[in-house]
Amino acid sequence: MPCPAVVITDARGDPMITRAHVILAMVREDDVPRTLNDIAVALGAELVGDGTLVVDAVAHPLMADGASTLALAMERNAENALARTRAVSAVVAEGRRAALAPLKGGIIVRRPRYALAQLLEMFALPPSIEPGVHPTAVLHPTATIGADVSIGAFSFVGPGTRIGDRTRLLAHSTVGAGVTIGNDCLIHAGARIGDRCVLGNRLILQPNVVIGADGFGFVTPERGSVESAMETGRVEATNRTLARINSVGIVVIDDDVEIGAGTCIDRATVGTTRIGRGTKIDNLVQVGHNCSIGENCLIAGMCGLSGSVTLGDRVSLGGGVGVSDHVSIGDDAVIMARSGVAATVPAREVWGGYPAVPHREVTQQLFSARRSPRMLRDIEDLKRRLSELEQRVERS
Amino acid sequence: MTDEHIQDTVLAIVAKEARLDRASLTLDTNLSDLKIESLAMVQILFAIEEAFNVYIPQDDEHFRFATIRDVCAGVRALLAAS
Repeated sequence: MPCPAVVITDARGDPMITRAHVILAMVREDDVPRTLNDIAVALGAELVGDGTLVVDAVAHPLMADGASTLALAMERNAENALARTRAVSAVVAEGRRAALAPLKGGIIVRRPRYALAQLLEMFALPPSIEPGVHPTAVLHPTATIGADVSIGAFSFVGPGTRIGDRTRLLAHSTVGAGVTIGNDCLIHAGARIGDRCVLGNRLILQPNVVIGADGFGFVTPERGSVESAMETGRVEATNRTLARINSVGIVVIDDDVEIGAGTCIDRATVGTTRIGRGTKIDNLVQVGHNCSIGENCLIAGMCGLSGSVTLGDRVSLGGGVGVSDHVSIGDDAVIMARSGVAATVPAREVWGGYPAVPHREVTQQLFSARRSPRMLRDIEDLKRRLSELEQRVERS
Repeated sequence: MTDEHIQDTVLAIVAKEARLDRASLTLDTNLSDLKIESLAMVQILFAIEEAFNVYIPQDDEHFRFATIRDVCAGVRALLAAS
């Protein structure tokens, strides 16, 4: 469905934001209209009121532009906005049924963010790409292209590369030689996939992802400054020459992985840098050479994994976490944002801080730092009182 | 320091640090229902320490609470001991 250019103006009549911005998502062109009941059934959620209401978009209550928009009011602030919405139906969290009273209908969900994921899956707009190969794309004659593949403008597919069925490669993407890409992948504009890398099925690579760049490996002919600093804490040597360690390995990414914009996954020095099935990586993450990341991990933006890091399955890294080389983090471990991990983290533990320590110690460190000024004042006060006492004793 | 003052102060701190409407909180509000993140909980404890000039023991046994009323009772006990 096309998105009409409805313009919202401020008090002075100046345009503030367009419908294209405010509507989170709309019905896909190939979908039939949905009713509120359809959506409730799809979510496995409770329907309240008129289930025949037709829904063609979802939006924040204040951004809803009419009766066919379903207001998303699972969070408290959004729920409060229902009093001023133009929508006639809304989704609210369990226990918040009363918020639906002024509306014609609604849906009550048990787990709001999971419901949001399901809703936006229903309403997401597909990326803009035509079927087939764009005339400006360059495909090597030895490349094998599967059925119903889309390849966008100015893209390149190298010799011997195989692209699976229904995979979509958006504009300005390049795929090197001997690459294997599975079925149903979505590779956004500007992504780069290096020679010989192997990508599974149903991957999503956001814009400008780089898979298979060389690892960061250099070595000095003699003992260098970093080695001496690590051994002694002093700089006892100088890096006069830096010899390159070539990366001859590859990157293997399993099925159902999503990689955020601008993220780089370096190829192994020798062997494989591996990303496990279902893992989700945010924007601007660096994964160094020879890392092994397990299944269903969550890695938030700006994380940096040095070479040969091992993450178990279902590990979660908060934003900006740095992990030293050759460190292992166990299954289900959670690392707090901005932590620096330099030691092995056992499975199912929460660690944080710099250097990262178990959560309980993080809390103690925070208390110590926060209390320090007050404790110093208390010590000064005690010293003064002790001094006064001593003087009194001496006088008596 | 009166119980009323302790209660008002603790309620105000929880509302501010957890970014909640003060009117939505009562003494019997269960903290786990507020879905307060662990770092926000630490901020609440910092604010309580500084508001009442007390040090909250770092072992779980001394300062474990389910409701805001429990927090107030903990503060009262620390004030009595200081």
